[in-house]
Amino acid sequence: MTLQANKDQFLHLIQHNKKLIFKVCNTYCADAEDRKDLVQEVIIQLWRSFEKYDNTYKLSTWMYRIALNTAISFYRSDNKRRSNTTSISENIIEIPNDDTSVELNEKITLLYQFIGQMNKLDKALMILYLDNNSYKDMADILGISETNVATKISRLKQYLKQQFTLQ
Amino acid sequence: MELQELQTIWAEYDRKLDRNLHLNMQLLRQIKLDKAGSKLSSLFYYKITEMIILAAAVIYLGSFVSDNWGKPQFSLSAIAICALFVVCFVYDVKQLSLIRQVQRGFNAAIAPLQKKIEQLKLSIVTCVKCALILLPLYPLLLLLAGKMVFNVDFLEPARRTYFLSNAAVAIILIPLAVWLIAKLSAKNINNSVAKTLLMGSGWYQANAAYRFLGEIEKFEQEA
Repeated sequence: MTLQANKDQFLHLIQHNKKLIFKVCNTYCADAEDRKDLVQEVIIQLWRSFEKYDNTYKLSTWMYRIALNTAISFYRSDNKRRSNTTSISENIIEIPNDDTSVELNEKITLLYQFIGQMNKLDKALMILYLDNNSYKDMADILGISETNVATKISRLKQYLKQQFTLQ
Repeated sequence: MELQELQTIWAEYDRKLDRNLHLNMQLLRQIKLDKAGSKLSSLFYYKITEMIILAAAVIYLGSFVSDNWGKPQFSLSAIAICALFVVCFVYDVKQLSLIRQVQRGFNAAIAPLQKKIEQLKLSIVTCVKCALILLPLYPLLLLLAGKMVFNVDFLEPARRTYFLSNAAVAIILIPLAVWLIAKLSAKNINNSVAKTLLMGSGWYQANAAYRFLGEIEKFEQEA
């Protein structure tokens, strides 16, 4: 495949999966400027790995792996970054006449806050779980066993339940 | 916090993200459309000005023809030049109509708008080709200018040699005009000769508008 065809295919891939990239970056970066850097870094890493993509894996599995690995490394490598979470309204533009109820908006904010307080692996698990990935896929992406995934997810659901109850 | 509720919350977040990305796309589209629109606006006013000049020229030539009806060297020359101006005027009307259609249709899909701009560009190129036909006909302009400005007849015996030498040059200019018109064909349109010929015709504004719309179409296809 020519370089241009490769590039077109890659751009098409990014356009179709940009929500996945945004979700990962929103979860791992509270700061807007850091988030922009992380999005760029994820795209660079995706491009570097694009030619080596093995289509025995699902595309989403491949993208999650790279995005999460990049985000975790990015998060880990800069100790000076602020770790406080920001409300979701600062992460995405509030659309006027949004039909989401106030209560649901608050719950989105809280969910985001609680996920933000988790450690890096738990964050990854939570994103993958809430995006309806199977335990098998999650195990593939994170490189842990399915049993381990199931145990951790159960623990995390308990944690979230407690956090919401305390609110 | 039950699983169902967690999934509801996450699904709502997903929806917000979708709306945000959609809004980004709309904003980007609007910015590009504004750029295309601004290029077309300047082209619109340019064409209006051109039409006013052409209309004034046609009216004046019409009056000239009626004043010199008994002198075929003047009346026929004026009619020939007038005919070319009328053709250009008609093309300008078509171009204005296309510009307005594009400007009013900015909420529509990009591909039909691009087609209209393609038609606009084609019309502009045809106008320039008409103007190039004037090249070997310049002795007629000389004859008319002589009468209109200096009230002299270049076909009078005393001045005939001058006119005939210009007519000889005009014959030489025929192949040049044919060559220049050929340079304005679709496959040659990006070469330097075509670019020089199209300068000041409004082609660049139309082309710039076309490019902005092309960028929008590319984004919309990838989204």
